[in-house]
Amino acid sequence: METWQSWLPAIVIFIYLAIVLYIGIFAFRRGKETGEDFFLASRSVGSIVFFLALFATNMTSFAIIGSSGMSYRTGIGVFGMMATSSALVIPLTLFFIGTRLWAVGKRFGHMTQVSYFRDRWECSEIGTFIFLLTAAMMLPYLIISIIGGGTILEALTNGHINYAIGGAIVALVVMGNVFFGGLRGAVLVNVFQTILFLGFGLVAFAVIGHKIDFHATTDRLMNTPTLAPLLNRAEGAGGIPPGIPKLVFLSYMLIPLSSIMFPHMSIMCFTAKKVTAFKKTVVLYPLSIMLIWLPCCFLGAIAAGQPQISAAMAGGSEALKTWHENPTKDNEPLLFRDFKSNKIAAGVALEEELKNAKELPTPEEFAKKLYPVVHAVPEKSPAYKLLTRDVRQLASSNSDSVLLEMLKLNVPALLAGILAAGIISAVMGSDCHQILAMSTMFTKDVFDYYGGRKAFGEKGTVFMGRAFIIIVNLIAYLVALKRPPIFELAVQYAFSGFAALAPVMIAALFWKRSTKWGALLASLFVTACVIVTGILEVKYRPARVPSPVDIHILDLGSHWVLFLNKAGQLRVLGGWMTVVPMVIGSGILMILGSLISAPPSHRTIDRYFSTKRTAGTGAPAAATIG
Amino acid sequence: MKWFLLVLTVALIVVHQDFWNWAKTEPRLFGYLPVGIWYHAAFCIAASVLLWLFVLLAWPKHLEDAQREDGVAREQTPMH
Repeated sequence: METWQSWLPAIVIFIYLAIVLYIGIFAFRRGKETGEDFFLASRSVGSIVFFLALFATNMTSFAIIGSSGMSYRTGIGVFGMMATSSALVIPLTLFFIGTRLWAVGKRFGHMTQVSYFRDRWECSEIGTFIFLLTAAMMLPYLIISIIGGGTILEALTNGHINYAIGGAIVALVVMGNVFFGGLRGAVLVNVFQTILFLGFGLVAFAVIGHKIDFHATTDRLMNTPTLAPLLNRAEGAGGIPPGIPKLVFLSYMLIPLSSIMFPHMSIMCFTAKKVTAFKKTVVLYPLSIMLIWLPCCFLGAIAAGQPQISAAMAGGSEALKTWHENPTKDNEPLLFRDFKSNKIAAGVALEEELKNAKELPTPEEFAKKLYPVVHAVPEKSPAYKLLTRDVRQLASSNSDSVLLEMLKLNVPALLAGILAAGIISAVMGSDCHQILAMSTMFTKDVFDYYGGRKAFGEKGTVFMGRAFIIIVNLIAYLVALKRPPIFELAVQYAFSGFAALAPVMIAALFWKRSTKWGALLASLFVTACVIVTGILEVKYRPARVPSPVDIHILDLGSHWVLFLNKAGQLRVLGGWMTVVPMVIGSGILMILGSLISAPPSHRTIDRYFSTKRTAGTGAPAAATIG
Repeated sequence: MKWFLLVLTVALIVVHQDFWNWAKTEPRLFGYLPVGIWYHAAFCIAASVLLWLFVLLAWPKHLEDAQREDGVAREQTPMH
């Protein structure tokens, strides 16, 4: 039976959301009424706030919910694969690219990547194309945030606030913060959020570690052959768990190149008051990544050694809900079929009880019912192995809820609420910036640029910017209602595409000879790759159900050129991720396209690469950007 | 000095691919953190040190002088 205490975590979250909205309104009152203040906080962000805001901008629900969920399914290798590669590559891109972006913004008033590319390559169309490409690839990122928010609120309230409403609440609060406060509001909220979610990692680890014996849990995992590989990166028997192939691990070194190319990250680079703000940022970044990712990946993986948590995750799975709404033989979970085939009377009785219940019990109540049934079966029997596998399979389909279930089962309700606010901080911190970046890009690079401001004035610009936010949010929300898995979605379509655009930015900043044709060729190549990846995956594995074998698409003799792995992801040349040929191809086309076309004018080269003194000001030499 | 930093960066990328730890769980730090986790935590600390060296030895000081160029339009029009 539920008590009011079960609502405590949700109450804490609502207080948190109210604070976020208030900060946005506070920022609105303190802001100046100019475009540069609304979109870039007048380029006045100090160094500590800059670091906290930039970090929050980059961390999404993917960093907490996606990572822990994937660690539950795949193991601790997620930490090395994604987190620590980011810990090195992202600060390096900030050091080399971020600082230069800041300088071109400071000197020439650029507010977006597109504005810079247009001026750098003397071409408006390249900017428009890159706007369309980056906006399309940003959409999955917006979707991730809404999924994260909906998942958290649904799990925290045991479904009283369902996923659809939870996602809508998060989307509306973020929109409110951005509408009122602009970037200043987003940055102020980020300070609050970053402290909260960095604190989350440490506190969750300590508190859960106090309740769960980590040593005993890892011992248990190591002594269970089907679960032991979760503590390393090797593939388990029969591909369960899947492990992490070495070529995939190596490929992931290129994924963090996407960070600086995300519009909301590059726009943040323009906001620093001084370039020296980047100094603290690049040094603190790797440590901050460790603080948030290590607890999430470790806790996600060892949750597999906590049967009550797996049972609770199974209790919240979509498969169970779908079966309960309309029980048929086809959608009956394997767990219930195996109860019958192994003549486990208590299990069969549980299935009947659930079938006849008006509504499913909460995940925690389901776990309390299921756990004794499964663990009454002798541990060494084949039936026990089968049933624990079935529970894990159900739980894996709901793996994004692993951290929340760990909190609910092991931590007092009030603290669980505060920690959940830490999780939702990561979700919303970057969501504010993503939405604002989309609005800035549309308003500055499309509407204003093509005469909208001349025709409709400043009020028209504001109206269009806000209307664009609503439309994009609505589209993202409608897609989020389908609940695609967070991690795989992000990597496939957003990260790889943006990473492959990094050569374009590097060429713009450092190579005088780069031209608009090189940039266009590279961008078209990236677009084609993203589309082809999607088409091949849908064509060859439409259901996206794991397969026992890889599916060959293109072979050259005995060499696999293109294939879908067992999880339905496109791989190239023996097992590399698509990001590798995409980045290499983009770089090559950038170079070739530039070399076969006419260079930019001397005026533009001098503008961006000259070291002559600025005439008439007595100021030091105009900063060489390259 | 820049070559030194480049060599360090490449070395860090190489040691990131710790294939020798692939199928290992032991030794566990504090009795529970698998080697695949604590090794990469140490990597994060090493990355932070590397970036500190970049800031110390290769900071692009010339960028600190960047000023708004004359004749560039600034966004001053009221938004509300």
